[in-house]
Amino acid sequence: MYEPVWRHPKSLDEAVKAIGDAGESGRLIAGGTDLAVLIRKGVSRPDVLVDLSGVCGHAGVTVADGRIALGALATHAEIGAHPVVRERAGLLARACSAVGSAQTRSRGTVGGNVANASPAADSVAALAALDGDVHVLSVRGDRVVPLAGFFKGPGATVLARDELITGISFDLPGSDARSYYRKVGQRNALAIAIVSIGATFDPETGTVRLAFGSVAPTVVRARAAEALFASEWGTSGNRPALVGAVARLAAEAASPIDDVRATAEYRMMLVETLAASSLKEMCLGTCA
Amino acid sequence: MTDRTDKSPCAPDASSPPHVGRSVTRVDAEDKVRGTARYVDDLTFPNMLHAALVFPGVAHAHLKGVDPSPALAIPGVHAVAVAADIPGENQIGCVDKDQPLMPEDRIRYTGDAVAVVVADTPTLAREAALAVRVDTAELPAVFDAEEAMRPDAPSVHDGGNTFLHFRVRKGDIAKGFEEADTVVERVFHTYHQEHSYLEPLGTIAVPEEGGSITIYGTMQCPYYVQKAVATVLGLPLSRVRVRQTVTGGGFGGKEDAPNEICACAALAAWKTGRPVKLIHTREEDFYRSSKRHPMSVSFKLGAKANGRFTAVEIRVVADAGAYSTLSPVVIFRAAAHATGPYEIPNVKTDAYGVYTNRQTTGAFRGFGQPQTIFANESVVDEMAERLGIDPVELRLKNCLAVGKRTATGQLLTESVGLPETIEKARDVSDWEKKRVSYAGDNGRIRRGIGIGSIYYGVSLGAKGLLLDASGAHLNVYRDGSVRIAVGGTEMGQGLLTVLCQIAADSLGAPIESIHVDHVDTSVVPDSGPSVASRTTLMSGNAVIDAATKLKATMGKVAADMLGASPDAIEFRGGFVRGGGGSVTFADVANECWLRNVNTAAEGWYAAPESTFDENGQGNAYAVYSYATHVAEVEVDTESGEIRLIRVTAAHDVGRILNPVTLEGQIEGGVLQCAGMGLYERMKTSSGDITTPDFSTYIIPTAMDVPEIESVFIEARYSKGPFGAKGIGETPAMPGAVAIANAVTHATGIRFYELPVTAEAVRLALSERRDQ
Ligand SMILES: Cc1cc2nc3c(=O)[nH]c(=O)nc-3n(C[C@H](O)[C@H](O)[C@H](O)COP(=O)(O)OP(=O)(O)OC[C@H]3O[C@@H](n4cnc5c(N)ncnc54)[C@H](O)[C@@H]3O)c2cc1C
Repeated sequence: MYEPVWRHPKSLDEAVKAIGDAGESGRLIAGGTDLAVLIRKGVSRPDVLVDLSGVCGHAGVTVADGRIALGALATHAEIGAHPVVRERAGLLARACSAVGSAQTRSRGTVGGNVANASPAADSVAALAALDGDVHVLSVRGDRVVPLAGFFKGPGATVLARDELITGISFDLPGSDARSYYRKVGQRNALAIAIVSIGATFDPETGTVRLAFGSVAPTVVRARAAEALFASEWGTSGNRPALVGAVARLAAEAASPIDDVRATAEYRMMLVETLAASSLKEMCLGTCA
Repeated sequence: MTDRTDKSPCAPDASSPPHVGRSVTRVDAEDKVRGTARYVDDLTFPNMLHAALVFPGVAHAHLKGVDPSPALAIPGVHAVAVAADIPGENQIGCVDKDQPLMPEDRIRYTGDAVAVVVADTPTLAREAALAVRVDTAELPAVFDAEEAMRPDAPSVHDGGNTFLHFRVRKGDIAKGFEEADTVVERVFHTYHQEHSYLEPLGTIAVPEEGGSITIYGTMQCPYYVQKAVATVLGLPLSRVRVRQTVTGGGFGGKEDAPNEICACAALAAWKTGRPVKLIHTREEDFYRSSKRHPMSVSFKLGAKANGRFTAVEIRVVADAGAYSTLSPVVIFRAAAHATGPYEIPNVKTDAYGVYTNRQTTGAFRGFGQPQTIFANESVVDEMAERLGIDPVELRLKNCLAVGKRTATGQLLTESVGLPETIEKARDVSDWEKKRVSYAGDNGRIRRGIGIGSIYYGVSLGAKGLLLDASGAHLNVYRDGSVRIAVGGTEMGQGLLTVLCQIAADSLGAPIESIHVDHVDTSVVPDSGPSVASRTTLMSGNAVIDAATKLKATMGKVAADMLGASPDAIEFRGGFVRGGGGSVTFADVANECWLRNVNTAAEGWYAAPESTFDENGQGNAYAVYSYATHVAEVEVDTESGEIRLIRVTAAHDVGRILNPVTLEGQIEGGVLQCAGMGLYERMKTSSGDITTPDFSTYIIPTAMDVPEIESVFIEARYSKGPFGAKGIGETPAMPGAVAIANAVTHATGIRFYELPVTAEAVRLALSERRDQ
């Protein structure tokens, strides 16, 4: 019968040591909202579980030096309710508030959402559009990995077995920056994204960032579309036409598949439609 | 929720019964809110073991061998029961004898289990179940009913896959279609729907001294379980006692499915001589429990330019899955009602039940009708559009009423509130205004309003006569308290509460003094199943019968006490009055005890006769319930997402017994309609379920609940308890098509399969743009 050994570190030092000692079959567990499901299904059966919930100084949201820093243990509920996040990074607040149900949001952490590496992860689509950095620690020291280079595929990241995420940070968006988050799911709550979009617009620099969830093996950025926008926004005589062109190009970043939730065909339609909607709302101030 | 008292067309007054018709609090409310209600998994017995089933997981195969030895070698595993251990008959088919408890030589779907493993804990039993070696050789399988009907399709059972055919023939459809000015003909598809009750299937089998066995479990039909366990163990019925535990929802999913799990646990208990608990996980429940039949329905309707329907031709093909289970009764109901609630002079209906290598399908709230309702109510709407008549008008023009005849030629003589449900649903929803104003939407969000009307034959009808009677046992103690046992089950619908009200008013006893038990088959004779909206009607009438007998005996004693004539005695509200005096109900009970007068009585009620000949003509059901739902939606034309914003649900229930429990029934049903209309579809691939849990099988959550306005119509039924008829199923029937019709109103696109998902809407919208 499956009976894992539990470790309950109290500090980051103890935690990295515990996960280092656990070896191949050790796993970190934070809120457990992903891992417990996999364990029940028999998909994952780690021998050692290193419980992060008692590690202090590792939770919450801090705003300092022009950055917003999310502790890995910050829950979706906390982030979604944080006043600065809501004001300056509304897309992240909306993304976190769109996770699962109230219970899931109170237990599930942003560190877990990122480490779990689902292409449908709600906070990730928002953090990708915020150009987030992932802060990583192990007994060998710490490092910072840009979110854009963090994921290798569904469920796969660049993290080594003995590394843990201590937090995610990103530049505090300016007060006139705009953002957009939308998830299309199968119902109003407890819905895994069919397609999600996180987007930001900085009117000062005339740049946008567009990130999509659930349309590729990882959350993806529409870099070519962003570049087209950056090069033409300032000089464009027909901004609505530009927005349409950017949205069409953005769709090329997607390489969706059919799954139990939806077909690739529908996802492709949504990508372009949602990209256009987000740009119209953020950049043109019009709602369709 | 709205004010209830003024919703009753017959508000209670001094002459109304004291309890019937009022919102008496549910008798089980406190236990359920406190968490003290004891569901089967909360029970434990000394020496109890735990069982798990062995699923080979193939859809169609020769079963060449089952080797339990690797499982038996695991410490803590006590036994593995296989087909060869069955002392009685390896057969649990409820209508046709086509279903072994455990297949001996052939596996017919992925829910077939070939062994029961018994161990110290449920986790160990499940792990050991994976260790049992099963040797199979796969056979060609068939996963589609239309394909299964072809002569060259693999046979699921020997002798062809089409095992049922019901026909209804009335008038002459050739003539009827000739008379028609407009004909609409369409094909509709619906898919497997899961019951999604809160409490999965579960049971404990306890061997008793003297060679008897007691079965505890979550179930709708204890007498079915009694029969199945007796058959499998080879015991007389008298040695099998079934006690229903507090049941967390059924919706038809606990009609026959408990037979299998209870018989498996019974076999394991018999083999080990110890109590055995067997509780399904949600995933096991998906594989093993029955589903709503997927159906394809071809529907052709003819009408005159003035809107009068002249003829209808219908072909229904229902996927029954690997075994027939309840299909003979479900498909009969579908055939009898397939025209929809309209008087149509010329009818031809053919309904087929077909075996496939998929999950078995059977009872699910609505019992075969919601699928055909989707077809008939869609076509009626399309006909309205073609004729340029408002959908409400067209329904009112053709709908059943007293004096009209159903498709089976049955003359309706009483209790037909259908026209009123349509009118009330129209008025309360503000249909006429919204139908116009929503059509003017031209932004990203488009609103729509749609309607669906239904009729439903209450109880089992012509294909269930052998079971259509129910009993009750009433015992009045010397202190005036009353204990009631019935054969109908409480599964969350509020039966116990309503029976307390009926008993209190028919006995004249204080309601606080009455207690109703869950079913125990050793107390009340076989009362048939708790299905088909029959339980309040049947058990209620049985309680009234017993109460009438008790009042006769107790009335004589009371007359003596009061010096009055027995004819002048009246029982009401806890008092017995006569000859100008009065005593309490408890005084009379005590006096009976002192005088050695029996104060226990048996009640019995048998359904009136019903008929259905080989042409589908006859009085198919004794009485019908009617309902109309109006649904309002908002469609996001960008994503296709649909929000159900409001449902007006008008129901003819004969008589309101308890407004709050009634409203609860309706609200739950509206949500199940939303599930069928917008979200729920169990997907499969080569017979394997790809949506076997609630993260992939999408049911509505609290966040998807629309505003619900329940409207009650009371067209009394002379043979019902206080005039009531069934309400169990009807709330889950008209809503799905009302939603689909509303989406059509919003988008101008008609949908021919359910659920209507965001994806389906978005793809259809872009197809139209491309044209
Ligand atoms: C009912 C339900 C609904 C859900 N709905 C959604 C939804 O709508 N959107 C969505 O995005 N997700 C959803 N999820 C998934 C889940 O809630 C989120 O991914 C959540 O953020 C995971 O966080 P956790 O703390 O619970 O992770 P855990 O389950 O504890 O861990 C998840 C993974 O991350 C690793 N891990 C955890 N913390 C760290 C760390 N600090 N460093 C390195 N690795 C770490 C673990 O080893 C594990 O592999 C849902 C889950 C459930 C059960």
